[in-house]
Amino acid sequence: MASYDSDKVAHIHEELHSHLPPEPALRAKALESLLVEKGVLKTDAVDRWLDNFAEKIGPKNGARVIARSWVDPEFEGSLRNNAMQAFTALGLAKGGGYGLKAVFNSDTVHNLVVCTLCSCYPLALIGIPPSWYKLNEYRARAVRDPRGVLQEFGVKLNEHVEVRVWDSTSERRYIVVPQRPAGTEGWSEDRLAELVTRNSMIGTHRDLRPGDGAA
Amino acid sequence: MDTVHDIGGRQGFGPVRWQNDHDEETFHEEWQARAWAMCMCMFAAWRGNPEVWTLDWFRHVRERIDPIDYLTRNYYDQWVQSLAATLIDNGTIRLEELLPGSATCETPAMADVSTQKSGRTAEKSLTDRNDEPAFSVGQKVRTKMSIAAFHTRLPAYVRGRVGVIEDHHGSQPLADASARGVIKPEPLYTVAFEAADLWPEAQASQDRVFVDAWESYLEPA
Repeated sequence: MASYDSDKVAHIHEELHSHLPPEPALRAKALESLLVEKGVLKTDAVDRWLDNFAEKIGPKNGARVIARSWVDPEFEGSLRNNAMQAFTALGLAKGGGYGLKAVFNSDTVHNLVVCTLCSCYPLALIGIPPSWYKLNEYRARAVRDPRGVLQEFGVKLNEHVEVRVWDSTSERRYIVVPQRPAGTEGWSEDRLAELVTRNSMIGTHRDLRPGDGAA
Repeated sequence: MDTVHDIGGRQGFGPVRWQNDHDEETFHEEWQARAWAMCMCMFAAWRGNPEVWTLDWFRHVRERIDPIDYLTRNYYDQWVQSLAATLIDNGTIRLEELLPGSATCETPAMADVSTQKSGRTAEKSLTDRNDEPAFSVGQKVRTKMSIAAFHTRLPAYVRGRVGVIEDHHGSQPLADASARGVIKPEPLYTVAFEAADLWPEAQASQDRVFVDAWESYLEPA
């Protein structure tokens, strides 16, 4: 039974701080070993989870959805109205879990996603967030100085472009849909998907170019 | 609680060091991957069973890490410490068992996670509820000032500020209640705030910040 007692866990943290080894890898190993030893975790549970996840889930899934939306206006409509359904339609999600909102960049709008309170991210759909997404610097500054942050990522915006920052404060998640780059007319969906970077789905990469991309 | 985790808009932080992150790279070190997966395995076993765990309780457990540790220790290390605290609190393990050179434990406290049945059906029926929303899209609202006695998802930087309802998402379990193990659905909205209404240096800005907010965080403006 969880106590749901805030001060009790604060005290447990103090004890853990005082008594556990400072080296993070050792702490993680000690906890995993204990859970396996107690039968709480199966010996191979962690390995299986990692294999399963790595095999099925990653930024390429988001790239596939975005590329499809670039070539199929009906699918784009579905992505705008019910983004989770768009992932489900491509077999990339089972549906449910949480609501997903796709926010679309345009010539006059740039979107940026953050979680100021922890590190919420659509990881069941597009995998683990990059390390920088979880840094204090990003969480603190994205809502207050988005243009400064974007500049550090090499994104230069004209003044007439409105920046919309989405703070992931509920169980809903956000994914940015970047604009299709010019000069990609007639490209196949697979080739287009290769242009979509992980950062572009968070909003710290704006102008995709042939030659960029995850692959 | 207004702990150090509520960091949005705090000034003085330096550049975002992003250059070492590559698209296909998920974890920088092996232990981080294992720590994350260990947490996910436990969450999967516990999900839908508020007697032992809710995600918002886990978030709150992380929020109670010593502020200096919160700001300086590795992110996944904080997950490990929070998982350990959660497991000690709910009686799955004892602190002494975690310490180096400790004697091994006596009885398994829980079954294998892969055989655990989750209570997702119950969770779903609760979140499918659709209470009549008090606010409509386009309406001006003010966020409450006093809200954070325990865990909350209303960031300090928007408290007491006026925004506009951008969207309504039906009813979702209120995070503040979930963190106490109580599943209490309530209308959820997205509220749009003008950057100019949030930050003194943004008076000329056309930019906006969007925050998801439950109905009890809001009052008519």
